[in-house]
Amino acid sequence: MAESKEQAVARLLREGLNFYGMGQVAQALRCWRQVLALDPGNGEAQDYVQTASPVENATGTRELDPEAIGGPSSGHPEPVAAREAPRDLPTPRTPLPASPARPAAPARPAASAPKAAPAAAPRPAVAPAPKSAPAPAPKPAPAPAAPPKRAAPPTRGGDPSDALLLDAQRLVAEGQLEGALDLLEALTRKDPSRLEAQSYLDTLRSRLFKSYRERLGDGVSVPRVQLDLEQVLKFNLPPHAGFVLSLVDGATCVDDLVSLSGMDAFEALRLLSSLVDAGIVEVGR
Amino acid sequence: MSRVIGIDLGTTNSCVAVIENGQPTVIPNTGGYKTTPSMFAISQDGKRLVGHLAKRQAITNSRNTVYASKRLIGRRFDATEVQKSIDLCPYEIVRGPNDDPRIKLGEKIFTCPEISGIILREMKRVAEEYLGEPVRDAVITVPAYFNDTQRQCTKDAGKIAGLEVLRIINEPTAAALAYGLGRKTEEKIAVYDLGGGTFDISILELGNGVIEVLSTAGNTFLGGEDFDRRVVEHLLARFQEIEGIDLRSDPMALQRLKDAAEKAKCDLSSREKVEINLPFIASDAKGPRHLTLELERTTLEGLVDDIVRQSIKIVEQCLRDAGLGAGDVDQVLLVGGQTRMPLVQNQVAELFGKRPHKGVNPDEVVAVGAAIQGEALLSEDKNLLLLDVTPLSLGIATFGGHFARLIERNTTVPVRKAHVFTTTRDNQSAVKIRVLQGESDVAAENDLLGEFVLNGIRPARKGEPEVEVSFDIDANGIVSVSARDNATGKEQSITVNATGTLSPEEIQRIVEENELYEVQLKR
Repeated sequence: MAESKEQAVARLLREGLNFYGMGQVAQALRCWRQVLALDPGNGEAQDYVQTASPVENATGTRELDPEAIGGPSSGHPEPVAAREAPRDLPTPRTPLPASPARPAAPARPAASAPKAAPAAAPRPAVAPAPKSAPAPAPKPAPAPAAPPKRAAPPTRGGDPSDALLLDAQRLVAEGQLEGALDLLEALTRKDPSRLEAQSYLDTLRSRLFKSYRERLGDGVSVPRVQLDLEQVLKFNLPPHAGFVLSLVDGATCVDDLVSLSGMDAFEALRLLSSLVDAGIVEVGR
Repeated sequence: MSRVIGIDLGTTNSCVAVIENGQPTVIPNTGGYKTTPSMFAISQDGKRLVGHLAKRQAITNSRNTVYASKRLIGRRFDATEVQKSIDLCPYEIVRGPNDDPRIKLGEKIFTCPEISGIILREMKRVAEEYLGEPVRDAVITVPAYFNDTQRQCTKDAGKIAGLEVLRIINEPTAAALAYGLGRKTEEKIAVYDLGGGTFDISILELGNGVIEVLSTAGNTFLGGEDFDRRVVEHLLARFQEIEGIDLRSDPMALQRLKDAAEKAKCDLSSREKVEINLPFIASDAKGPRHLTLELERTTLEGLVDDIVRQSIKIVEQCLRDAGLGAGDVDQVLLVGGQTRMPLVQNQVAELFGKRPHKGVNPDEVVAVGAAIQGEALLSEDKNLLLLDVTPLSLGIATFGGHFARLIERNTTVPVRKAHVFTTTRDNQSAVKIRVLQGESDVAAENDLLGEFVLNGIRPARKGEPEVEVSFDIDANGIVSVSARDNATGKEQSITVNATGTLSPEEIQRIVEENELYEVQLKR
């Protein structure tokens, strides 16, 4: 059945939000501009374009080939920040560390359904990088000014939970596992009886757990802080990540760090992994 | 016999030392630290953590982290110290089948000797790793006021750890040994021991190779951790003042603050000012918040002055108990890491009118003394041996609820004493021997160490039978009691196995459980 105009508008708005959440501002804008082409008076799309355009200009994402950062299927090497952006830090849902030396990930807007908003609420913007970012790293781009002002609209003519699940599945297919995890966690919190989503979430967590383990070496590998305090302060770490970082002393191995954190092993590894990805921590023997 | 290690099994930290080429060596642990926190935890992922690892997660995993279990060992569940610990400690303390306090971590209940055994096992492991050979024999120290039950429980802990405990010695005695005091001249010394969780003051009289405890006093809930708590409170208040955020309900922030406070406190013993940096300790709508504060030594001193004064008052009381003035004390020894603080040293010096003895690290002095004692036992060098005395009087309960002393306090051990008692009723065929320790003339006010019944007494009128009761205290201070009907020769005896101590079967079960856990870990 052909997609109606309203359905196309809703889909494009949602896709735009997802792209924006993943740091793909140019693609997000492309979606929202398509909405305006279909429905020039659409206030939401106007708001989103108005909010995201300065971000696009500041980060230079307009010049990027969207296909090059689209996902593993593109066959192009992925820029680190784009590949996993936004690299969410585990519970509570908080912004990812944003290195000033890398393209800053925009704050993630609300999930596509308003009911999911408490779980996947708009995140605070990452801290603007100071102009004195250390050379030779490229001058850091300002962080996105703010997420779109409105929460994403409800999907019209469908169950918002279905839409979330579909979004999550699409993100998994694109290799955006962290983003998919966010959506699935929001969905299962909202509707714990939804076994399909729970099962999908469990599978995804197992997959991510394995990937964190691979990234962090075996349990006896020892993480070390790579940056001095001044450099670390340029990141936007949530307190949980700050706590895990405080446990990294260059002598305690990954397994012991997990034990010390007092967190669920998945969450601890997820945080540690994000610190490694951000270049704050290195894992070695 | 292999080498003997000396272990200071502290309330807050433990330390192990050995004599190498005639010189004491304090053995560093894997992290390079010469003291190891006396802490044990079961982490969320089910792992057993000991020492520094346990300490670093003590606040975020407070329900499953045991500290200061030494306050509980060998005590009855209803004892004041146990009840106070129940109020203060986040971990669960439950009543054991022997009326002893036990610690519940998750679904498992641990006895106190078991917890101490885990700490001792870690100290044994540290020593073995350093020496490169198995270690079996040890001398372990205990506070001078520890009664027989507490000493026996500590010995049980040693067995659980796989150690042969050659001797249990008093902590102040060990400190005196480390300083080489009392072998030639007669002198009175004060041992001011301010550790992490407890404060002890002992006035000793040394001479002719014997150490007599003239008086001992203290507070089992006063120590360096109180200082840390004051610093944490100060930092919390300052942060709230600056950022408007209250971190008191955030365990992760509190864990970081506690660690930072302790480090700052230690650094301020040698520096006038320190900076405390805790990035990303909180966040709000404006973004991440960092704690960056300076702390000056004078500020710290203002925060803890009353705690130090409290300890000084206890010293004054202890001197009065010994019938001495501060000027009568020839030497003052400092024990415990908190005595590094200049404020503490100054107040102690002010009280005694002399600077405290320096030269042996206050964190290590007790373990060094224990190692010296161990070496003396090994070499059978009688000149090196200092003899302890029993800290409390020992005796039995007699008719009318009186306490009959057989061994007075401060009697040099080992010792054996006997006394003849009789029956109180005609044709009485059995007597109950209730073994007590304490200074009260009223039996009920002293600690019950154990009891047994002597049956088969010859029928006779009251007052005629002769029942000889003998007390034997070995060099560890462990008490054995026997009762003999002189007419029939019938005899009963016990090695006092009071409430709270473990049976050999229980000890064996714990050892096997621990071994099983180690096997599981290696898989």
